Amino acid sequence: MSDFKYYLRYALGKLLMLIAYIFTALTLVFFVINLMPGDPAYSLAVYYMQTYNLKFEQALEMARAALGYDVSKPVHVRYLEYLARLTRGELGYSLYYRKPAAEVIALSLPWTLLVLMLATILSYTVGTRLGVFAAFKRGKAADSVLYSAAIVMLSLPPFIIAVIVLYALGVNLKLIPLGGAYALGVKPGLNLPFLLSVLHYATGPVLAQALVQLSGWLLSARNVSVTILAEDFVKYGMARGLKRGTLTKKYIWKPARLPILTSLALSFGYMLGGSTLVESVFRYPGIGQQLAQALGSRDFGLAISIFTIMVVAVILASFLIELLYPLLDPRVKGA
Amino acid sequence: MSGAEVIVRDLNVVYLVREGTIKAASNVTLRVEPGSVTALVGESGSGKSTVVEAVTRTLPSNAKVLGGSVLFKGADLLKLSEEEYRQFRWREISYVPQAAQNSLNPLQTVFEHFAETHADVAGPIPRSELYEMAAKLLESVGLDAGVLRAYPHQLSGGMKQRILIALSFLFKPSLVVMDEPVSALDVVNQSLILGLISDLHRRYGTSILLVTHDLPVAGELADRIAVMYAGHLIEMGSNEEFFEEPLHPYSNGLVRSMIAFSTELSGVSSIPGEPPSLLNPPPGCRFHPRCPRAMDICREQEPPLLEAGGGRWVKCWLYGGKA
Amino acid sequence: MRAGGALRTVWELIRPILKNRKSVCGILGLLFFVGMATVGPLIVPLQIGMEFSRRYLPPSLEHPLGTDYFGNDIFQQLIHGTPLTLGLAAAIALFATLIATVVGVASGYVGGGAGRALDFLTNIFLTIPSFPAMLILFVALGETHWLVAAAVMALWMWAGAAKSIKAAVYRVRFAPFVEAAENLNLGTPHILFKEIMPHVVPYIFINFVSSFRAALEASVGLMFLGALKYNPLHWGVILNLAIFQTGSIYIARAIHYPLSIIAFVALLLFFTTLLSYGVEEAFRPELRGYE
Repeated sequence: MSDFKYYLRYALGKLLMLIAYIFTALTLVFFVINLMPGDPAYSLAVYYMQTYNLKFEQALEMARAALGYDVSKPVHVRYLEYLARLTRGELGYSLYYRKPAAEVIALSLPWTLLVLMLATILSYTVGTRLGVFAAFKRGKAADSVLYSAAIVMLSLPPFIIAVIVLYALGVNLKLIPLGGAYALGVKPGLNLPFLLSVLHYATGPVLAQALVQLSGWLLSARNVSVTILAEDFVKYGMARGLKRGTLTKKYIWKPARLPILTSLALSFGYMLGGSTLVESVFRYPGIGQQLAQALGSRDFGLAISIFTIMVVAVILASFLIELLYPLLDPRVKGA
Repeated sequence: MSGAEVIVRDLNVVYLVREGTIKAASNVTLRVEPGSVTALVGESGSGKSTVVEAVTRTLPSNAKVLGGSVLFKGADLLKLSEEEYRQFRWREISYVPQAAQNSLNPLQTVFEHFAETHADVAGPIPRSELYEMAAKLLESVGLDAGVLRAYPHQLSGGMKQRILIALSFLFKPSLVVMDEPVSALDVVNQSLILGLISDLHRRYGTSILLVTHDLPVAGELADRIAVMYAGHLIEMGSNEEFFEEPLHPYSNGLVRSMIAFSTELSGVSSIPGEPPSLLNPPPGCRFHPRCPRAMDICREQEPPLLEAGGGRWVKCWLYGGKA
Repeated sequence: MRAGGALRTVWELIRPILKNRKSVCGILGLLFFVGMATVGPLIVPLQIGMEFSRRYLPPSLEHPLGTDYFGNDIFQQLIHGTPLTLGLAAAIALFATLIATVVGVASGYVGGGAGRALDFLTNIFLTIPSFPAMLILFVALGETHWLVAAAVMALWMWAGAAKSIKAAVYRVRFAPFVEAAENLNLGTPHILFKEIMPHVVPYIFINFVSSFRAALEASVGLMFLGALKYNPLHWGVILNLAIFQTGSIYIARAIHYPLSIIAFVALLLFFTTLLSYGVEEAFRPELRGYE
């Protein structure tokens, strides 16, 4: 069988896994919500009653619809309805915005993706380079300093970093705005003022998210590199007189990319979780903040829809990275 | 290109570890005659790898050279800067490492190894020319040119060992250091590779420093034998003379316990006792605790390397040199 | 095991930890906080009232960290909040490590279909973003007893630890002495507890410490966003008050308020992270930064 066919078989296998994962995850989501003790629809109904000035029965019905939790129907029926809705692409309904959740999410998702993309690129390039550098200087002052700094930063959770960045750059130095995705007067579109304004407003969240990830990249790159530097083939490469550049590129970076890439997939989920905190601090209109706000107004329809998107996104991301793996490592040739 | 002479003189190397310093190589003096195969024999921990690492400048970061010199082609290799040593790396001195299994980069083809070595050491040449060169080298070690396109994980241990040997002859160097070239192989492959090394030596006439713990291997290939024990070079002599009459009590014990088919040197079975810790080696001669002929002076003073006639050297008080 | 043997194994566990610089540092720092949690509330009084005239006073001898929006001493609140913060995180970590140990050992030892199913389950929980999940759950649950809250949180924190414990079990699973015990029909409980577990216990401990750290971060984060209603003295709730409800971060003279809370949280997390790294290094010398 040719290499390509092997790869196809591998990809197909991973695709099946992908479907299995998404299916199980969404089922889990359904059951966790539906098997919670008590009737969450009840307390939600009370809230709706007060907020929207409804009669209790109406409020209860709304609450049940929002949670997808209708005790009047048996569990398996609810489950099938849930699956049916998902396959139709119907994510749910937002009571707060009185629109299908999908529409609401479509507005905020791009902002989060923008921030995460920029933050990841920034922290990956800087962090991994610092990490490999530290590995080369292992045991010397530079390594200790970087290592200690990384551990200090690692112990700071996203919300603390976000608050510090907000305070330092926003409140104190007044360099970045304190909320929003772009300035008020600017017209959205492919024009320069808009793009610049977008970047300006994204600086805070991007910087915060980048700092959150930075030490992770640094330490993982450093640890991987230290292991690789101790490998026999690296020593043999050095013995042969290979230049520093060759060694770094082909003997350190190439092998290091693989395990680092896997951790990228894992960290994506953590990043999405962190975005709820970071975006809330910066009042940045991404899905993270939207989730927090939706929960604040007990808009469960929207909240669960956002969560579903997050779950699918993370599984998809790791699937894509697993597809990349055989292309980077000749030892993994599918089956 | 024929073999060059290497003289190691009073080499002193220690390893710095948490518990103290390991005196891995102390006052080691040995000579590799031009165009000869010299075997450096010893158990694991005897210091032979340290000597090799000093010559090829591949010492680990916690190693410190306290003194001594390695003379080669008019230069002291230990005193050269990394840049200066680069002139010798692979062009004049090459190296076949001990870990054949893991010495090739798993992410690139065999050909890549040849290409990058040539490019970084002697500048790039047209790919077709390089391919021819590599193919010929592989042929000389008994491998088909198709191997060039393979990845290391697709190859057997014996094949990888041959590739490492082929790589070491890329620039027809004056000295090839081989660290345990056959110890990881099965018996059949062992004899094949030994024959191969013998052929290559005859063909190119390069000096070979062969490190091994396997005395019969040394016996088969080497013109001269040098024995190390506990960081000391204790005996040196020609192959015939050594096996006929080993001078040092340790070498004596080894040779006597040799069975016709290859065996590993095992201090436990053939000579009672164990090699000493190099963290705190015994005073005087480091072999004295196990030596059946130990004298008082052996316990107190380290014997000098004494000439025992016609190119034989031994580090033992039994052969004179009383202080 | 006799009492003497048990003590010795505990010592075997503790000794490498004490030898590692990072973990000693972490332990000392944590001891300081634990001291604060136990002794602090006894020494430091708690005076909560509303004296707006004393609002946002800067740090002084009388008020070491200044006062908050309501004129209450910040230092007192943080001290009295320490046992709550530490206690909740410890409970979560305990539950999570328990689940992780059961799942990890089971999937590592059993293998086959059941093992693979457990692996799959572990991976699912690993992939689902835990923080948003907890966020939704807690808002939906509303008021809950803190133990229930801890259990719910532990549900999302066991997956990583389970994987690590499974790896540890796997490393020993195929060792010759285990095989020998199996061949001698020594019985599964014996094999599990006397042959395999001693090698796995250090990793259980390592994972407990990292779970504690993650639990701290998650619990404070959840309260920071207002999802978990716990006790007004929990640091997360105080922080929520400081940033979102009173907006003190935007007020120049009030900056000591959010900053002191952040400092406390950051310090506690820092020492916990140190301990976590130190303990891991202690049992896995290959990770040591430098000799």
